[in-house]
Parts: sequence; structure tokens; C-alpha cells
Amino acid sequence: MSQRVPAGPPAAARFDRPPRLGFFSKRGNKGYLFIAPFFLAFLTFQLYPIISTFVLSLQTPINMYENEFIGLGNYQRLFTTELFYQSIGNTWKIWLMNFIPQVGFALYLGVVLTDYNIKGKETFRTFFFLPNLVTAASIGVLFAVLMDWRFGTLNMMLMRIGIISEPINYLTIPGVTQATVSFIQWWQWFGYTTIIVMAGLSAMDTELYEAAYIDGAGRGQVFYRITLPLLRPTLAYIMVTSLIGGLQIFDIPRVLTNGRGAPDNALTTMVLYLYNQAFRNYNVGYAAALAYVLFIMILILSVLSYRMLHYDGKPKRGGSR
Amino acid sequence: MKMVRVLTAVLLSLALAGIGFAGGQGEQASSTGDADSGKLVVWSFTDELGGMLDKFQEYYPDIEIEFTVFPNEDEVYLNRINNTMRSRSELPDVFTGERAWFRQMIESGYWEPLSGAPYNAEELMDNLVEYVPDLSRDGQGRITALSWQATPGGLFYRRSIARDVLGTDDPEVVSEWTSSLDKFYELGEMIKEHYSGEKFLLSGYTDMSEFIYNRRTEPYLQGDKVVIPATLVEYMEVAKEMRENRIEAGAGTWSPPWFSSMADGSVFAFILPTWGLHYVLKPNAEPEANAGEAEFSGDWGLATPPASYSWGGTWIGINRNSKNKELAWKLVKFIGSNPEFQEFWAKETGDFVANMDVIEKIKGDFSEPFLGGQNHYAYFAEEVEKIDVSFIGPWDFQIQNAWGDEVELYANGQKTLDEAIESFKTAVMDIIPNITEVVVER
Repeated sequence: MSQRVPAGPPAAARFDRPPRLGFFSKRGNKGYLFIAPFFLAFLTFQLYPIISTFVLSLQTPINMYENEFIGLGNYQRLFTTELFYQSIGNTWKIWLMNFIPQVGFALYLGVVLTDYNIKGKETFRTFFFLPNLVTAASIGVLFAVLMDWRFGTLNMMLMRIGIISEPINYLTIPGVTQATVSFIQWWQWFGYTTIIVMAGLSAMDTELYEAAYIDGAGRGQVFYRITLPLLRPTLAYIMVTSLIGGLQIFDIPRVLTNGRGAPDNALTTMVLYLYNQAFRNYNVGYAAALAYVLFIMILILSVLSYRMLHYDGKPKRGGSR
Repeated sequence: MKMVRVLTAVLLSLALAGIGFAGGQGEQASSTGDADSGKLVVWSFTDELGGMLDKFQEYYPDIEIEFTVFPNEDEVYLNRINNTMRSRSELPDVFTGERAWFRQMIESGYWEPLSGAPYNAEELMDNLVEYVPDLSRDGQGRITALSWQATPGGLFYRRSIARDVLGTDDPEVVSEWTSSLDKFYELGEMIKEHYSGEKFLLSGYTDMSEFIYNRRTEPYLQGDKVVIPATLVEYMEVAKEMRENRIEAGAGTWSPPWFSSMADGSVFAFILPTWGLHYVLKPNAEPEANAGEAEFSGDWGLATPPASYSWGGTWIGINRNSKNKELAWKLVKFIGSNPEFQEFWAKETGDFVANMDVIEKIKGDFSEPFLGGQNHYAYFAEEVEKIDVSFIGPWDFQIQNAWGDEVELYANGQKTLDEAIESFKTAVMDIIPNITEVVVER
């Protein structure tokens, strides 16, 4: 509280410098220049779209040229539309049908390729990874041709062998089309997942295995008691990334059904529904609301999975690990 | 405080950058006062326009044209136009639209109305096929775009199959069989019997959809209701019968098997309009002959379909925000009405044009080797007068796609008729949110 004598001229003046230079000439402020590119890009390409999408989600089109404000009407419509829930269901179904066998396969192949001394395992790894390099669009077209009912390879083969006598129109049966998409996803991604699992396995301490075998543990016991628990962070990572990708599945359903989500909306996933509403039915506001709901869903699920990743089976003792 | 200042600086620089971009565009667009020189930016989804622009520049050598094609696979072109227009951009000056989806563009006012001064497009009406400018009229009845082509429909058939089954390949006789839906179906059964199921009437029942969708008098969207005429329900029934009796080969229009069935001789008829002959059938049915490496077999003929129809067509109009409207009008008017140009175009490509004087003048001169010497122009000149477009509305494309999806499920036995119609209603309510009811007449 004590009154002080003024401490003399300000720092800059004391050194006979011009009194005010730019903000960035101060040494301590130069750092801002270095981080500015990120923030510039973030503001323009992420924050601005996020905000403007929200604003858009509160509007409804008068025509393609103009929108009007309707408040939460789009959200209200969204939550009362059956197709919205169906699209969530479809997305989950397709993801689960692909994810479970994918992880199973990846674990099996990963363990086999790491544990046993298989000749040419690099070659196997490459083979398994190859489908991942093909674009989804071409795979979709390929399968559309394979599964065409009158002229497709699949029906031709089955009829030659004598398993079926009449061609089956696969792409009009909802369950079959969903399974096809899951199969494609599985085929495309199990190699990638295998490689991640192998990375996780090779990072493990071999002493643990040696100790276990000396104590008389069998292969099964070692797998369930040592490999799996230690692989948990890797598996959690696989799950989070696969979930985020799976919830956004769009390309293969779109190509396989010419964007219609047919038959009977069985392939209308959340993002395909969003796309069709925005770009085929021109209801951009409604699509923006859909995008927001999808965003919040992925956010919550990611947080949950992240927690799982950091859960170590014991009550937290404070501090992070 | 510091953060605030940094943020302000960042935002300011962003704003400045924005102004910079806008300024650049403005400069490009503004032209000199001289009416016959300047620069036009043209966008289209087909490269077809390229040849026309070359011709235009022969007439107007001082007009520079920057032409860009964005193919509309995956709605790329449409999205680009929508985003450009929503951002109120003044470029492109001129852009094209396709009939399947351009009604929505028109009702949104993307294209400058051309009926009034200084364009006075109504004066051109006397010489043009009426439906062509009519289809581009906006809510206030003003013409907004023109087209170089009219697109009446026909039915192309294999002469060899007609000879085998009907004993003659004369288009007159074949037309008697193809011009009513009942007899057409009967012909299908005869073909099936004659070749014991090895050959088909149609590649897919979906080929009939265009003339079926033209068999109506009212628009689907009436006030806040969508009304589906009984002819569409009939279509469902016919489709199912055709599929069950193996009258059609089961290929969807535009699918790879559909294209290959043009060449392999297994299909009797393809229901296609004017452009379908030159751009779809010829290059796929006899690719070598079309490339000039062989002679056309002449195994095709042109007959009357079960109902008159028109299908597709590309229109060209002026961006309402363009700074160059006068110059742009020169181009639109040239392509959409200039008789010299359209005559050149018709002779060069065989495409059916929109200027009636030209049609009258040249329709006698055509003899198409692909069609065994038949004159397709004279046929289309007659068909074009039957075209009615009064029932075409902005949501037709989406409504018909939704209907087509259900037809497929019904034809394949996945659904009953009632189930299919119910699903259709749900789908339409989701496509057009502001309607209260979907009525399907039966």
C-alpha cells in the first residue's frame, strides 16, 4: 500500500532506443510468430468451419440460394426421423461385423508371425497389407461387378459348381449388402491392424515370457495372462482409431449402391445420410445438424475409449502415468 | 492483452487476405465497354461445349473464353456450382445445367432471367422448338436459359432379331409392335420363345422408366402434397412381370452389363433419345465402326416407343451475379439459337438441334449408316412436336430415384406392393421436408 517514488523512465527509453517498435520486435514475443502458422491454419480451416457449420445447422433453405433461420428445428427433425436412427444402427452393425473378426484375425496372425519363426514373414505382412493400398472407390466398383446378379462372377461360379440353380440378386438383400461392406472393410484393414499388433508384440519384454515358460506356463496361459494384458494399450488404440473411421464409413456404401444407400437404406450410414441430405436433397442446414450430432457422438466415444486406454485396473492414486 | 492483440492481428490479416482475393476476382470480371470484346469464363459438365466455343470465336474473335469442364460424376459439378452461387461469386459468367437437376437451379434464381430487355429472348421463341426455352422458365414465367438441342426419345432395335421374330425389319411394322406397352410386352414373350430365353426384349426394365415418367399430365409436387400417378404403379407391375418372366436381362441402365449388352447382340431394344444414338449406342454397340476403323453393320433401326418422351438435354445460361452479362448473352444466344451455328453442329455431330428452321431445312438430308440408312432426323422432327414438359418440377429427379429403388425391390420380390409404396412415402417425406402428404394413385 505504500506510495512509491516513480521508478524512472520506462525500460525502452533508458537505452536510447526509439520508444515503440512492433509487437514482435520484443524478444519474448517472437515465439508468437513461430506458432502463428498453426493458429492461422487452425482458425481458417478448423475453427471457422466448426462455427459456421453450427450457424448453418440453425438454418433451413428457402431455395438453394438462400437460407432462413429456424433455430433448433433441424435438430428436432433429426431426432424424430426414423432414418436417422436407422443410419446409426447401420453404421454400428457394419463396423462391429468388420471390427470383431478384424481384431481376431490380427491377433492370431500377429502372434503367429511374431512367435514362430516363419520363413518369409515380411512377404506375408506385405500381402496382408496390400488391400489397404487400393482406393475404396475401385474396390466398391470391383465388388459391384463381382456381385452383379445376372452377369456377376460370384453367381456364375456358384451356378457352374451347382450350389445354386437360380442367380441370387445379392445387392437387393439388406443383410447381404451390409455383410459385403463389412467384409470389404475387414479385408482392407486386417493387414494394417496386424502390423500394429506385431509392433505392440515386439515391444514386449521377452524376460516375462522366459520367466513364464520356466514356471511351466503353457502357450495359452502365456497368451491370456501376459500377451493380452500387455497388448491392451495397443488394442485400445486400434479400437479408438477404427471406431472413429468406422463411424465415418461412407465411400464403399456409396460406390456399391450408386450413393442411394439401397436396398431399403440398409447401407445408409450416418455420413452417407449426411452427404445425401446436403448434396442430393440440398438441405444443407439439416446436414449440418447431422454433422454436429455425429461430432458429439464421436467425441463422447473417443473420450470413453481414451479413458479405457489409461485405465490400469487399480484405483487411481493421483498423478498421471 | 497480448493474446487479444495477436488474435486481432491474425483476424485482420485474414480479413485483408479476403479483400485481396475479392479484389482480384473483381478485376478479372470487369470488362471494357466495347460489346464485342472481353473475356468470358464458362463452366460446364460436358466437354461437348468445347467445339461450340471454337465456332463462337470464329464469329467473335475478340472475345476471349476461359472454358473449364467439371465432370458431374459424384455430383462434382453440381456441388461446385452450388458453392459458387452461394458465395455470390460473379464467375463463371456462363454455365450449363442438365435437365435432370436444373429446375432447382432455376427456381433458386441462379440464371439471369432473359425474357426482358436487354436480352428479349421471347423474340427468339418463334424459331425455336417451344419446349426448350419453356422448360427454363422461372416462377415468374421468364426464360432463364437456352439450349442447342432438343431431345425427343426413340426406340432403337436390332434388325436381325426383328427379322427372326417378326419376319421383317421394317421400322413401320416394328413400330406397330413397340408403340403400345401391351404389344411391346407380347413381343418380348415372342423373342423369349423364339430364342428359348437366350435373348431379351430389353437389357433391363429400367430402360422404360424415362417414357413412363413422361406419361403424366400433372407435376408430382402439388402445393404441399406429392401426388404419384397410377401410371407409375403400373410400371411397378410391368417391371415385376418382365423380371419374373425373363423378358428383360436384369441389367440396370448405365451399369457395366447394360453397356456390354449393346454389343453382344442379346438384347432387342434400347429406349434412348437423340443423344443416346450418338453418344451412347453407337460407341458401345459398334465401337470400331464408330471410331472409323470399320463399317457400321446397319443392324439397328429406329421405331416408335410405347409413349413419346424426352430425356435429358443441356441448357446454358448466365450467372445472375456476372459482371459481363451483355457479352455472356452473345454466347448464350449464339449457341441457343444461331441458325448457321446449329446447322453446322447438326451436320458435324448428327445431334438434334433446337432451331426449328434448321430442323426443317436439313431433316431430309440424313441417312444414318448405323441405322441401316434410316433418317433419324425426320423421325425426331415429328416426335419433338409431341413433347409436353408442363409437368416437370424441381424434385422430379429425387422422387423418381426413390420410386426406382422401390420398383427394384418389388420386382425382385423383396417387398409387396403395399410395402414398397409405404417405403417410398417415407423416403419422399425425408427428401422434401415441407410436404404434408404423399398420395399414390392406384
